Amino acid sequence: MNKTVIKILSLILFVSAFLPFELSSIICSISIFTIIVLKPIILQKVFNKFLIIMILICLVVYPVLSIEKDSAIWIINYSNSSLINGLKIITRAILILLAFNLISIASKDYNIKSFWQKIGLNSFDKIFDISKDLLPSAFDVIKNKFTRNKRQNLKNAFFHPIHFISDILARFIMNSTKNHQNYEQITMRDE
Amino acid sequence: MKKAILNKDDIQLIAIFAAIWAAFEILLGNSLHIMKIPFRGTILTFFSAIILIIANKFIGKRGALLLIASVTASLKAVSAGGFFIAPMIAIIMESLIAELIFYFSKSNLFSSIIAGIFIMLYTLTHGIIAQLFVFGIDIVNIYNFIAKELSGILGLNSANIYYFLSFLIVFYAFAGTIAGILGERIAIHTKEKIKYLSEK
Repeated sequence: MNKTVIKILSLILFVSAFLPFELSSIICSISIFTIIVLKPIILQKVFNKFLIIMILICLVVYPVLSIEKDSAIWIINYSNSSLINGLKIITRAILILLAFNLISIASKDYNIKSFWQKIGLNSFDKIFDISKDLLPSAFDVIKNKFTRNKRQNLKNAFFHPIHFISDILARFIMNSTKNHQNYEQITMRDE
Repeated sequence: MKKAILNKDDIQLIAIFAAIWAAFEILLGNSLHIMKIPFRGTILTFFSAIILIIANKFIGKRGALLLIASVTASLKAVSAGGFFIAPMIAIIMESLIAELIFYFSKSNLFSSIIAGIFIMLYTLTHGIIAQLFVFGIDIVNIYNFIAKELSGILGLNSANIYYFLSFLIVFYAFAGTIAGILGERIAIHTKEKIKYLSEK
C-alpha cells in the first residue's frame, strides 16, 4: 500500500475514534475487516495481551458484575448500559491503536533528521552523526563490562555502583573525545 | 544554567551522552523485554534520570538535555526500524522535566534529587495518561468498579487502595531521590577520574 494512503487512513481512524459511537463502531468494524484482508499482521500487534485483558474486563466482567442487570443471554444476566459503555471504550482503543500502528508502518523510512530540524533543533544533524558513530563503541564498553570478568564486574556494580559507572563513563568520554579529535585532524589534513 | 551557545566541546559531550543513553535504552530495554521483566519502564527511567543528571553536570547549558533526548530517541527509532511513539514521548518528556528543573534552579544535589523525583513520578503518570488517551475518560469508571470489586473480594476498604497509591508515589519518589544522589555523585567521580586519567 502507498505510504500516503496509509497516512490518510491512520488520520481517518484517529479522528473517527472521537466521533459518536454509532459512527465510530461502523468505521471500526470496516477497518478491522479491511486489515484482515490486506495486512492481518497489524491486528496481531494491536490485539496484544493487554488489549485482550481489557476487552474481557470491559465486555464480560464489567457488564456481568454490574448491579443494574436488565438483559440476559441464556442464564447469564448482564447490564446493557455497561456493555455499551464497554464497547465504546474498546472501539475507541482499537481505532487509536490501529491508527498508531499504521503511522509507525508509514514512517519506517522517515527522515528523522528533517523532523528535528523542522522544530528548530539546528545542531541536531551534526550531533546525530557523531552519536551514530559512537554508538557501536558504547555498546562494546557496556557489553565488555558485563562479559569479561563477569563475576568480579557484577560484584563491583552491586557493591560500588558509583565507582563502577564513573569508571565506564570516564574511559568512554576520554576515548571518544580522543578518537573524534584524531578523526577531525585526519579530515582537515585530507581537505 | 548557562545560555545555549554550544561550542565544539559541548556538541562532543552531547553526542557522547546521547550515545550512552541510546546504548542503555537499546541494550537494557531489549534484555528487559526479552526476559519479560515487569516495570521495565521504571527501570529504564531510573537509568535515564541518572544519565540526564550526569549530563547536566558536565554540560550545564540550556537545551542541551533536550538535544541529548532528541538524538537518543532518533537513535532508538533507527535501531528499532520505526517510529515508536510511546518510548519517544517518554524520552523527550524526561529530558523536558529535567531541563525545566535545572532551568529554574542551580545545579546542585538538591535540584538533582528534585529532577530525579519528578522524572520518576512522570513514569508513574505516563501509563495513566497513555491509558486515558487510548481508552478515554470512561476507563476511570471501570477501574473504580474493579477496585471496589477487588476490595470486596479481598475484604479491604477503599482507604487501603489510597494507601497503596500513596505507597506507590512514595516508592517512586524514593527511587527518584536515589537516582538524583547517584547521578550527582557519579558525575563528581567521573570528573575526578577524567582529571586523573588525563594527568596520567
